[in-house]
Amino acid sequence: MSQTKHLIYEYQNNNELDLDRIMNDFEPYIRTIINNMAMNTLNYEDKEEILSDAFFILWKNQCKIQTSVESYIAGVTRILVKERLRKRKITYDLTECENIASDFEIMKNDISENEFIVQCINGLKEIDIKIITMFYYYSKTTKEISKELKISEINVRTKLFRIRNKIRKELNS
Amino acid sequence: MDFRERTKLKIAISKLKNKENAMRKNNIYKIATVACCMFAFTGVAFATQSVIEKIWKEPETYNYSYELTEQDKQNAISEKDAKNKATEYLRKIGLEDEVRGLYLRKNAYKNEVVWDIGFGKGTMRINSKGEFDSLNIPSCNYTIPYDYGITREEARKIAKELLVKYNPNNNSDEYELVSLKRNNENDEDAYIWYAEFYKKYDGLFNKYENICIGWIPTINGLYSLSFENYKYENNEQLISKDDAIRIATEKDKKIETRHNIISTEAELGIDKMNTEVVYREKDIKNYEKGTINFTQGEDGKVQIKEDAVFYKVDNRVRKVWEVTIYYDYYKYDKDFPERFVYYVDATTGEIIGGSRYYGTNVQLEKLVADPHNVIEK
Repeated sequence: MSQTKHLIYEYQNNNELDLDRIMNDFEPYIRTIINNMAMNTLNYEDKEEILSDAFFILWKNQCKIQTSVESYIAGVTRILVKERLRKRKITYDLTECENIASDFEIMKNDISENEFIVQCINGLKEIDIKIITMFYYYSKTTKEISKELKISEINVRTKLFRIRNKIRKELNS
Repeated sequence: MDFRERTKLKIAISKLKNKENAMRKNNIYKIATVACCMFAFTGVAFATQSVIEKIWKEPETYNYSYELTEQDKQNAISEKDAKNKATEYLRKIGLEDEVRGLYLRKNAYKNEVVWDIGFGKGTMRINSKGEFDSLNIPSCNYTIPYDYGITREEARKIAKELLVKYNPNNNSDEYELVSLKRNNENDEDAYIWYAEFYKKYDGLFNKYENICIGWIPTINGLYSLSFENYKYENNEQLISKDDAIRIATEKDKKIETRHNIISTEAELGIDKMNTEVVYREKDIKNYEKGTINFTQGEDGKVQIKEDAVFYKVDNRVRKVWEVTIYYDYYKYDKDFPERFVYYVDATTGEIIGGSRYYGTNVQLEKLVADPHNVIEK
């Protein structure tokens, strides 16, 4: 990653955030922050989850970001690592990230939404994960999905219907 | 799963969750049930997002001209019908005047054709469909009484009585008095009073459904009367405030590249589709100077530019998020950052218009706060 600071709109294309480009540019930077903070206290899955959480929260708040992408994503990552360490009951020196307490308050909703989503993901079959990503992330039609996954269109629709029901149940619970 | 795929999956579920939340909030389940039933009986399914119909269409262009085309003439009601409509309306409001001259005229700026009609005491205007637009009776038609002075309390009461008298529809209770002004600094010295009424829906005013009445006090002689009647569609709010701000900000970053955004705010309001964002996006510098289609000639006269293009949109009135974007640029005053207001449709999330400085809500606040408006003072 170059030393130049990047603004979020540089990564926007046709009203959409170019997530692939952001991930390419910032993955090594975030990995370094996670590794420096967590050292050997967190396992590989935890670190991967934090990495994906950081990009998710960046996407979620893309319109509110007033600073550079670097500063924002670094701050978010630090909070996520701290939160994960707290959950694992691992103590961490607070002086390393002085503003974390107030920043955490701001991000509380994002973190709880992320937890809700992780809960929804658990229990989804691989095929459901593919369908939901293709339909809601890539905005593909059921016809296109059925062609790609080589299953009938009716089957795709039924699966989508069940996935929506599952999310609805989670929301109601 | 690779962290990239996992991030995309999270975004997908977040989008689905937001859609479900919006549906829960707005009882759209009813529509979903119908969609599901149709699926069961016909095999046709609707994707969740396709239930919401988009309303914004690409603006059409039109020729800026005062000359009536054959098409304009054909689209307008005939002279005979216009005369009948005018007479009918005059009788309805208790005037026995005869209709005299009728002229079909084109408003080039609005690209609208209207009938200008003269009658005994004054003039009136009806639109090309025959709907009443406005009426004026100069005060010289009245003998202003010696004791014309009234108090603002009396003016408020009379304004409401005149509304019932001159409103052609039986729905005066749906209107609310928003402005009461007079032609003098002192109540008792004023010999013309003006009242403005807007229609109100669940706490929101539609300024495009208004009735304005001007009258001579004591004798209650009608001085001016105008209507606007763009019906509010009462669309549901499915878009959240945060999403509206996101939509407006994304759009703005493509249009305003000279200044940084310092803050944003949003509130619900009722606004009419317009072409402000279309022109601003086309050429922001000339848009701000007011010279996008016009220029001042050497003789000081305003001229149409050679490359001028005029756009028109439907006159749909919708519930919108009025998203105000403030920039780190102060053109006029250090306390007044430059800004732009986007109208984000509360149902579809489309940008359907905008305003250079203020949305309807702020305009209304300013109207109420105007020192000449004595409605609450």
